[in-house]
Amino acid sequence: MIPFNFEYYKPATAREAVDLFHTLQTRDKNPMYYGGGTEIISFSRLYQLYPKAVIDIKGIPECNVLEFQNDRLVIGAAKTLTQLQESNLFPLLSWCAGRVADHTIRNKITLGGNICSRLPYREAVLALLVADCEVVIQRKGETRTEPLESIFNQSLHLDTGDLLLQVTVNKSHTCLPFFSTKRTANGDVNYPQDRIGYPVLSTAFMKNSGRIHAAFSGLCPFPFRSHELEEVLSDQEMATELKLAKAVSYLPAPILTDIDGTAAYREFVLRNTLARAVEQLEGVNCIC
Amino acid sequence: MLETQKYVETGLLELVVNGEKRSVMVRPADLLLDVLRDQLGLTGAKPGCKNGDCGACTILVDGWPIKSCLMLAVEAVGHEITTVEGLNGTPLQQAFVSEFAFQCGYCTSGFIINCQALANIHPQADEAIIREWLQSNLCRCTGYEEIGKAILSVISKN
Repeated sequence: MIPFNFEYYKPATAREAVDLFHTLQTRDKNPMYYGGGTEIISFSRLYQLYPKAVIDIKGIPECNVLEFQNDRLVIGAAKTLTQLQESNLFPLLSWCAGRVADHTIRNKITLGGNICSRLPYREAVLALLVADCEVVIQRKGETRTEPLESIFNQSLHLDTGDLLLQVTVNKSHTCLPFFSTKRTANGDVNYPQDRIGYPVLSTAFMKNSGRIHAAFSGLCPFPFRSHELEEVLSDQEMATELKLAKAVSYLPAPILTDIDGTAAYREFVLRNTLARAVEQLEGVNCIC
Repeated sequence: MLETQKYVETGLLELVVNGEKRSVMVRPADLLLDVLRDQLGLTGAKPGCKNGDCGACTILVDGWPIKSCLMLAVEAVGHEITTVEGLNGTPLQQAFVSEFAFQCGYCTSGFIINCQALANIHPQADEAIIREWLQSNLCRCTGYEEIGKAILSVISKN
């Protein structure tokens, strides 16, 4: 059980949700937006979160969209990872989202929740980073759209009370060739998911106009995309060994050592994965 | 126009469980698992890890398996909840008996609920999909082989 109580609100519009957040904030309710709620429940149970009010976003129509609109795939923040996986409208996202937690929990975890998670892995973000997606944010009095990369630096940087409404992806990017892996302490995770665990290394690579995009999770204490590293991987003239050595030098933080793997082991897995990615994506232009 | 649903203190709530409307008295922070067991006497959903890891508390929400330890009771308003008590002798339950797919039995209701959802949603599921779905539940007696046979025997009839 959750050893304290909180107020629960389920607004019907995004504007109402944001207004409610600010009102509750002024009343010292420490409000939190509630998507799947798995993290809020888990951490509250352990006294690591203390919301006095939660605002469930599942009643907001914009948060429940999952469809192509003109030239973009629009994904509501309240769509569950299973819904993304089953729809398979963006195969790389299906792949990345389909390796988070286990299948039943993915029926509850939402895309918005995964992006905004306090956990360091947030593997669904990898597909979104490499696909140059945009995010739609509801603020007090306005809705704005921004490239995810402009506000995702280690975590999603939103102003207090801002609500992540949707993620949109250029339709043509949803069918670009990709390569994606996840390795846990117990081995490679295939798709459909055949083992569960936090990643030693989780990756997403996408090839767009001859350039390889790359994002990583499990390697450093946060998921990231590195343009410098991509530059090296996409260099047709450079020898593979040199590419790997240079690529490793472009990581944004020291490689993690934890119970799942040492930094040396993670680097070993990274080098092998980069080599496989370059080999797989060489000469491939489209999977449509 | 829809209005904001609001639950700010302990109060009465109407849930639809196993096809029946049931009234429960809940705090907004009460977990569905506790409400099903303590207020409705539906003890088929088992408290195991209470952390979303073991799957013993799995129920169906609008036909999809959900771990009821990770769902608030107030979230269930407007949705159809099915617990193992609502299944009543399905072919899958028979298959669990025929294949000896339980030992101590504590995980069984969670497995049956998850397998039932799988059989309904993916009646032609291949082994990879079955494997993916069944990873959501743990059996400490390690009876996975028999559980796999039980679900396969139902799927293969489809």
